[in-house]
Amino acid sequence: MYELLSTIFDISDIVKIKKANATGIIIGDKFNGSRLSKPFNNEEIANAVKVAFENNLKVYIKMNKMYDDEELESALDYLKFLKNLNVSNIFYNDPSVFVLAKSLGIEDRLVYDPDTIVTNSYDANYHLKKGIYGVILSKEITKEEMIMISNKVSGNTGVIVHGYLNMSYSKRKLIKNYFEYLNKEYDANNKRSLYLIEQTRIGKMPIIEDEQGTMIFTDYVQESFDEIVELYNNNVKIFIVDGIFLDIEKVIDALIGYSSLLNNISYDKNDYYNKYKDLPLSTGYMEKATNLVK
Amino acid sequence: MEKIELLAPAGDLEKAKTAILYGADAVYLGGKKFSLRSRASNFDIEDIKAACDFAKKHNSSIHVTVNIIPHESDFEGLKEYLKALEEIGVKAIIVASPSIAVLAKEVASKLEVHLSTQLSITNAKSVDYFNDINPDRVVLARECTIDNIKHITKHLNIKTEAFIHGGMCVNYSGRCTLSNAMTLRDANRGGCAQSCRWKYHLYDADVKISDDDILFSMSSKDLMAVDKIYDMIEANVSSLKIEGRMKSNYYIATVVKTYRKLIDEIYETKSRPSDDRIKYYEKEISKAENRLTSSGFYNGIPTASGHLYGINGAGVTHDFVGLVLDQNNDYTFIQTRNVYSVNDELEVFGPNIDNKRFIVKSILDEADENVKIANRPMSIMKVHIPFKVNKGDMIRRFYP
Repeated sequence: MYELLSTIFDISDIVKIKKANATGIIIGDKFNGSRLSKPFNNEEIANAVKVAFENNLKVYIKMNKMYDDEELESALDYLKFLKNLNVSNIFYNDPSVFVLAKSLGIEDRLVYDPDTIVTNSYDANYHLKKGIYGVILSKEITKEEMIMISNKVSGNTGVIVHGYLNMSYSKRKLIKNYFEYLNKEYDANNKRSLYLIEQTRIGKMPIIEDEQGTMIFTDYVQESFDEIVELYNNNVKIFIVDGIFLDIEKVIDALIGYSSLLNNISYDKNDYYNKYKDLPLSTGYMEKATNLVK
Repeated sequence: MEKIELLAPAGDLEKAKTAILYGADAVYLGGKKFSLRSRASNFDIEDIKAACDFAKKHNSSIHVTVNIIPHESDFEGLKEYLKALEEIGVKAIIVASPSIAVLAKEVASKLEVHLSTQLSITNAKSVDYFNDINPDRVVLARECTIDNIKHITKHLNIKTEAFIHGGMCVNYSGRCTLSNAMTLRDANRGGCAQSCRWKYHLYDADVKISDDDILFSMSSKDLMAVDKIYDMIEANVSSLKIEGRMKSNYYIATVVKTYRKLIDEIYETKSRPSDDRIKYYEKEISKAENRLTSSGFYNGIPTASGHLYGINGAGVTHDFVGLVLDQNNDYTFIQTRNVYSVNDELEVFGPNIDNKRFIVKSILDEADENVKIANRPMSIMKVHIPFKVNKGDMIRRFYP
């Protein structure tokens, strides 16, 4: 059975995405999680877990920070907190999270999600063989490559099917530094309204600066309405709708579309395109391979 | 205690030889496949063998980057390639893909496996994750501070390698697909277009907030860790790595020789170099470094001073003008690499000679005609140098 996961902006969204046939929520806090639709504090996370479980939804926690040694103690405390809440799964990026989770006996709940670098079945299997729940495939590979990988590995694979895709993760505060250089005051922390346009291009690339550093996203919103069923039929199990820089309405409409398609109910993706004419939707790398050289 | 290794880059065989002659304990290079930096003039297997043979003769060694993040179709020929590297005497491979590391241990067990900085290892526990590979060395993430490095090396039984000089990814290595998205060139398979160094307008809710004269950029200053070498030695780091497989022969010679001298001085004096000595070494580096430099993350997360906005160049203080081919009692035979003239004061440096200066009294061209200026690239000119020089020494013009 597939899993259709979605980020949320508010705890009240949990019921809404349940009605749109999501099977799980993705949340996180601002210290251990990065590029979240909205960071929650521990009390809110506990409440979200309770509401999600009441609605028969799984809870995935984003723990995608890269840690320094001195931060690992608090990472371990956070994992204990998540274990006590009995969260369903935890996304990790830094390998140390696996080592800590294993010490708590919860490594089987982990999902390796480094954004990039899971681009082939051999590497995917390397991580899966550690006894984790799954791996999220890199978004910069094609649908055919995703299918090849998912059909070859022993374990669960997942794909981001909808949303702005993260393109870069810097530990530096790039916006803060820029304004410091200009000798101007500007508070960019966690602002969701910032974007870049390369000086010779027109695409708007969202950029956020948070506690973890600076992240830049694609100038398009990934959509996979034509691809999701084929991916599911080829053993991709986890499908992610990431609402960062979107709103709950766009997320819910996407969930309705994907869940319909996964359940053999007809859905015309033009409904989504027509409703959100200003949204720069694209199939991204799914149908477009990258090159090795210029 | 084993002396720390100085690891230098090479984009071709000539640069590999230069790096070794100027003091590198080991050289890393990329093959034509399976390596990042596809624009570097990479080595075929015969060239790698020649580099290994030369290295062996000079008590050095060759590491080969096999550091692509491979797609499903990129594995063809890999097993044979790894075996060939082992057979020709390569000491180590630098690997970003865990499955390539596992494969190398299976099919070419004499090769050391060094886990690449592409894996962004920022803490000691992360290394435990890869224990099943049994890696011989880990290359630490460039996001580590000196304190992070000290902590990691203290808690690890495995050798570590840290960058000390050269270009820096502004993002965690391997975690950037700006190039993929903006140019369809795969950053993790050797096609990085360095989109981070481009210029961008920055908006907040459709209001432009960037300065039109100084656009937003993510370009990082290059790393220079001259003042951190003592700390790295003290922290028991095993290898100090210079970045720059696409850099020139002159750059390699200058940077390698400078760090070689610095490392040797620290081992000799058994003490932290004085501020004056650090300034001296930084000045030596500036003779070839054409980008502004900073200490990267070693003192903490870089602020604005670690970035380049509007400008890229630092302006080198010296130009490489000629390569010594031979010397007899009357003349030194110099291969012209850049313009110099009669009455110019030039500086010679080489593996066995430190910055000796002379004034060009006369120049004889290939027809033994007196000329005032040497300006034909690669032409061989005869110049009198009043002291002994050696084949391979480099001559540079400096700006007073």
